[in-house]
Amino acid sequence: MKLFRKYLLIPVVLFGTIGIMVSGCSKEKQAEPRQPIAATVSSVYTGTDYAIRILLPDNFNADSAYHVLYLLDGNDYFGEMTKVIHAQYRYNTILVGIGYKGTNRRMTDFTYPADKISDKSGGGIQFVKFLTKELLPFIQAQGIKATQQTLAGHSLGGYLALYLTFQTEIANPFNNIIAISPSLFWHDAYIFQLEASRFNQSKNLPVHLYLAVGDIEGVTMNTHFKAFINKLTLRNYTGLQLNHELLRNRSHNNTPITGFEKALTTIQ
Amino acid sequence: MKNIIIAFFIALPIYVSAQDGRQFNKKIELGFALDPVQGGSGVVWKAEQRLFNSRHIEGFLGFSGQVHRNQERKFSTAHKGGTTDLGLYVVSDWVYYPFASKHLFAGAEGFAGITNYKSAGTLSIPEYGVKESFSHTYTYFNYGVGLNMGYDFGRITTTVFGKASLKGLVDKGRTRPFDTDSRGFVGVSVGVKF
Repeated sequence: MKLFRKYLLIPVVLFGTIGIMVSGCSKEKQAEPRQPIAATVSSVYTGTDYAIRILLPDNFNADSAYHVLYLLDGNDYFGEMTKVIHAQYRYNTILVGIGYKGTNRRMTDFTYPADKISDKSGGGIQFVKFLTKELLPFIQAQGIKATQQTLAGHSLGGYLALYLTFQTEIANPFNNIIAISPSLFWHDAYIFQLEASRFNQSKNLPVHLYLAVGDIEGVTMNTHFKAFINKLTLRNYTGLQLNHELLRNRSHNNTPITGFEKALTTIQ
Repeated sequence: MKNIIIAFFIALPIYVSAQDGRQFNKKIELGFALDPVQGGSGVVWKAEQRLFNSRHIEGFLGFSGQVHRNQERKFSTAHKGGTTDLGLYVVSDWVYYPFASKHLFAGAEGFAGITNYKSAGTLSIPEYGVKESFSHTYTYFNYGVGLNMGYDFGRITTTVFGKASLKGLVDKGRTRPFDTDSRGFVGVSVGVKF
């Protein structure tokens, strides 16, 4: 019996060791994304403290310039987009998540003009000032240089990105605008009025626009989306690169990450 | 005539409560449901066979259906149309009667089947020169759970329920409870056992 145990023990230990080695090889540990830098930026324009998270590339070098992607609704999407950036753009893209330290104010910050839908709405122009006059300089002050700058938003965030594009009070510093499931219906489709006003001032619109909507987001979202795309196409702006997409089998809360991913393939 | 109506309403509860619900193995229900998140309302129905019966617990298996319509009036009035969901599901109900009298109950259900989502409508904003139409149909496998409580008046059963698709929680997409392809409903129903 002792002999049996002795000889049984040898193959068990041998095969067990091989098994552990093989299993260790097949599950090669994947590198995790870098820890994002967290900062707070207080805005004098909106009176709000913003939670800013910055994901630097793996090989970040302060002497090099990168694509800087500014992501609205950072509280919701930064974690998911970190995985996308790390998997596909880890060496050439800096992700900046724009969230809130306290109460979420997207209904105020991402809307203009004020609408009866919410008495908190209508602060879009102040938020645009925060983005262009406070946040972008803050990012540059961190030693980050940009080859191109992109603003990405979903839903009301997508609307804000388009509002920033077509308003004429503040110059648009972004090369690319990503608007996924944008709330084009806001304030009786005010964005159409804004676009017409912009078109009458200048037919030059030097920006890359990517817009997408889910095909199961309903009539309101899809009809406004189609109408806006048709309007932009008819305008034939000089300098405008327009990409748009209907995301198949996607409901409203299922479009943001897929939309951002698809948009980045047209921008990078 | 007035006396007949009064007599009817006095006699009905006596009639139904005099009957023992335990002898009935089938039930059909018809109800009204709201989607408090996405909006809209509709009807639900259910036809089930009792498969399990103990002192406090009963189990049912059957089919349920739902028609739900949302006019999408929440954010815009410039369009006409909306979305319609048609559902047909296999459903299993498990009901717990806390008292021996078997009147008051609380239950849980699971459902799985097919939902057909149809979205169609037009948008017209003359001041911006906008006239657009849209139509889309999507049929998908849907599944979820529900909770309910109610009271049996003999063979008549009344229920208040809430149910939710789990598609937005466990499929490959983003977590999106109560989105358009993972709706949640609250409602009331009345049924008959036979």
